[in-house]
Amino acid sequence: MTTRMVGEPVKRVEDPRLLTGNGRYLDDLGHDALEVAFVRSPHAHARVVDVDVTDALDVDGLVGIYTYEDLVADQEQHGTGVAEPLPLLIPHPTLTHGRTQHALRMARSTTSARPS
Amino acid sequence: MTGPVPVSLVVNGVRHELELPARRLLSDALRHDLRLTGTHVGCEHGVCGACTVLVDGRPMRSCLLFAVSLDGAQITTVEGCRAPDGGMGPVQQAFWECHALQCGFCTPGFVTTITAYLDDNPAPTRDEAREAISGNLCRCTGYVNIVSAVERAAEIRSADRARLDGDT
Repeated sequence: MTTRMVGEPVKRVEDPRLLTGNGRYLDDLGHDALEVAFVRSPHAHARVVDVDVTDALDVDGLVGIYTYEDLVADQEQHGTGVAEPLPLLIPHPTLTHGRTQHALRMARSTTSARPS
Repeated sequence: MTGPVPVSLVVNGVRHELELPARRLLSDALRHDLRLTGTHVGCEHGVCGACTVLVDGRPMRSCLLFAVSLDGAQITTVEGCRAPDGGMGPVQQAFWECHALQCGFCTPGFVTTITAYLDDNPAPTRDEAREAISGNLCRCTGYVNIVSAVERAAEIRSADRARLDGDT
């Protein structure tokens, strides 16, 4: 097997399905998948004091809104580390943790998932 | 906002009667409504060419077309670029032989574009082949092998044609 493959072109086994439209990419799952929008702070280096999702909850087609508080709850219940800040890879005296977090909004269509 | 609009599309030879929102893109109609996920959506604004399909034989960006505007049209996607016997079509075969794909994401757009191009120009030079694929972006392989695949596809097509002529 190996000796036959050395010095000769080798046809890839995955190509026939990729060439005929039968590949399976993540986006191909999209038909029944929920859509998600990440809402980030428009202010650099701001401290988030409160995330008010009251009005957003009324958006048609909305499935759920997740904020940092949900990560804390998840950590307390399941012991996951998701609420921990990312490790500071390059220590710098003026960079600190605990800055802007983001809210996560999920909906059945892109239009309703888009932050307004 | 109007309600769903009836539209009839013939996709790869199969007629589909659909009720679609007026703003449904052809790419989404193919992928989501017909679940033909071979057509890929890359940039969603007509630059990358990944979503190219043939509309009545002509290559078009399916991400820039509203499906309801194509009532009665014949659409060919990469799934429809196979050989009549169900095997790989000449362009698909040539891509395989020439290693003209890596991840395969942009490939459906190239296959449809080149399939239509070879109908117009069955024996392109390398320069012409390069020009023909200039509207499609590939971020894996570079274009050298894809240009070779255009030439190889032209050879396969003319060999197929000669064989057919020999049979009759």
